[in-house]
Amino acid sequence: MKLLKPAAAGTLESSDCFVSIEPSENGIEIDLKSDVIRQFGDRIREVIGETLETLGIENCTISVTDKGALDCTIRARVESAAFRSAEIKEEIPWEKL
Amino acid sequence: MEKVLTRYLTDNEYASFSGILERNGLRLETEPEEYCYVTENGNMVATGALEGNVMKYLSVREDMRGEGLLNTIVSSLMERAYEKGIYHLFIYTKPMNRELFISLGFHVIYMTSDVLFMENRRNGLDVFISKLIMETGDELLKAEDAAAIVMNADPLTKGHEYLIHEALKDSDVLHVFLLSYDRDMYPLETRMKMLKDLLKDEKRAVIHEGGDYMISRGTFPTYFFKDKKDGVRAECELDIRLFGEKIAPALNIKKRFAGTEELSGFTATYNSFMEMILPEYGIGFIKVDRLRIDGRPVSASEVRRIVREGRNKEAEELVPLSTAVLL
Repeated sequence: MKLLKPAAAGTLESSDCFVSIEPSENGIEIDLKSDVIRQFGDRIREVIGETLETLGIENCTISVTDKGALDCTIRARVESAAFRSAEIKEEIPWEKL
Repeated sequence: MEKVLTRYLTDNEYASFSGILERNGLRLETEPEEYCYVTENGNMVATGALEGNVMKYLSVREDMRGEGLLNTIVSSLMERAYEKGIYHLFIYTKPMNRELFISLGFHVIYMTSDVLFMENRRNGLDVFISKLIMETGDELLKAEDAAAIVMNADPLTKGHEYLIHEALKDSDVLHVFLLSYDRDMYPLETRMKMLKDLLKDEKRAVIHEGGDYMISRGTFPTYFFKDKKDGVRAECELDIRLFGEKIAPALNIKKRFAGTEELSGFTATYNSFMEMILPEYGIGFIKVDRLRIDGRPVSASEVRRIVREGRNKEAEELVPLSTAVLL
């Protein structure tokens, strides 16, 4: 998937996360803030990395401010930020996700 | 609980919005493009607004704190900003709110004793400084004796031209920073063209856009200071320290030039703070007597006034030829 512009998804409310993503040229750079970073920081990074890999994104700057979101929430927020960034509104490849 | 995002406040909404701010020692002093508030049982309990790329007026009613209402406001405003194509956002707040805004995904740019300046990017200032270095180029970066001028150039006058030449006499390289925020008459693009045309043959001058880290009057909120004078002092101090500690060293700037300001007001105050603070960072502050034509000091505000009155011929006397064609 080719990212075209900066885009964001999610909220800062409890059990959610705010994700902003933008195109870059230097691989994947994750900027993570989390209330539970000591306990779950590594796991959250893993989920972000896996989601980006599934979407075929190799270069981006992604910033995630986590408020205790579950894995599936993080995945969903990363996906929708990426789709917005790639300006994909229809024909979302659901079966791949 | 209900969240509202709106471009305009009705009279009732306005009263509640400013009421919450006032109870928190803040005041609504500008007209943001987007307002956001949260209500509980029909009563407004939290507020926030977006003005350009600055988030302002963030406050929560005292008895409603700790419920994550600020999170709701900040994420709604961020989402709205992204929709509008504004991706780089800034906040000015009190230093005591540092942890709070870090937990909302903001990063510290600079902190003085009474203002904390934050952005939603991790290394925004570094990116800005790299851009300044690139614009300067290796050759000019080597200069021992670099100087800087910061200006609005609204419009660029013979006064600016004189100041630039005086500064060039006394330095190897001159960095001219043009403030990005459009304050009055001419948009950035026009002001930039005026400056570029004037300096097109001057190899020792480098023009930079002031961007988001040279704070123009107009973006800095003074609303969280009870006394407006304290707000002005805080604004000057933040801007000058950020320049002295972060920007100047990257470009090896050792001097800052400014024209004398005879009238009191913001510029005069700003100059006196430069004189006081810049030496702390090993930067000399040099005041140059303002250029006079026919005995009268040349100022951009005077030129604007003359142009507004349609007396363009008269205005042309006060500006370089390169500006005159753009008036």
